[in-house]
Amino acid sequence: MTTNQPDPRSWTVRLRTRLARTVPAGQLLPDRQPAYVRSWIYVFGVASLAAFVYVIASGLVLSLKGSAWWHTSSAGHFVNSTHLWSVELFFMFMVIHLWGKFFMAAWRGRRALTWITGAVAFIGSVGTAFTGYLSQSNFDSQWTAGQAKDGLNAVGIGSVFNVLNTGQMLLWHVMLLPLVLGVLIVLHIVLVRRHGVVPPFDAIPPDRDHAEVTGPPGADDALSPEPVAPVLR
Amino acid sequence: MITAGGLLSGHAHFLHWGVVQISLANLLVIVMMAVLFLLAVIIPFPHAQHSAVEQEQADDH
Repeated sequence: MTTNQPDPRSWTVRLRTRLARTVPAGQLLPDRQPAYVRSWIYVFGVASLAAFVYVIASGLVLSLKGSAWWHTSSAGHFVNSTHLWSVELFFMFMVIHLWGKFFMAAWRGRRALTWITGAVAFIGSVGTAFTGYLSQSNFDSQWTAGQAKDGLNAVGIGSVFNVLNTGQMLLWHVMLLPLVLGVLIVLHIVLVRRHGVVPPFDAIPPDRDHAEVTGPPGADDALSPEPVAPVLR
Repeated sequence: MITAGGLLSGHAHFLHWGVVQISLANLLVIVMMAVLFLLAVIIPFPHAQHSAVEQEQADDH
């Protein structure tokens, strides 16, 4: 007997259902947002994303052309410099976004995982930038590695993360850490789309229980099926 | 070849306060971030008030 009903045991059906529940179609690319989204703090979030895209694009060009190019040619110097300065802007925008979200207590209302993915992405960015300094292939990278090795050996990670191993640091910088960072950023954006941005403190109507908006204790499963609707006054 | 000039080119300038030392360039970046953050909080977002009124009107209907 044949049927048009999808087989619930199929992994593709289960994955499709899970994805559709995690980010419903209307939440993925919404055309309307609550009034409180009109804030410069979110502009800096998007600016961080734009800077990250440029960091990846300029990094791809540097990977294609190689160290001799970025050390000796004018075009190489230029792309190398824009790679550095886009990283500087990435950190600056991200820190301002982070400060703003901290003072908004942006983890309220089942948004803990959104906050955590952002914070871990920030820490991961520090590591990615650090391996970038080690991958310049000049005296600066040698000096940085020489200074860093003692500290990293002192905390016991020198055997698995050897800053004097240029090949290892280069691969961490161009492959491993950008991949991890990219996944974290995508997850962060998906969670923002899933739960919406956090409402202002005074957006909780007086007739509603605080726990109703912020979620009950321990209800921080950010991928739970029930969306938390933004509350407007 | 054109090179960058000015206060931040060449050798780094370091500032010292007891055990704390920081390069002038890093201090300027941190101060710039703090100023940008304050401006982001203080300066009203364009059309924010207008949109809030529109939102309230839409919610009333």
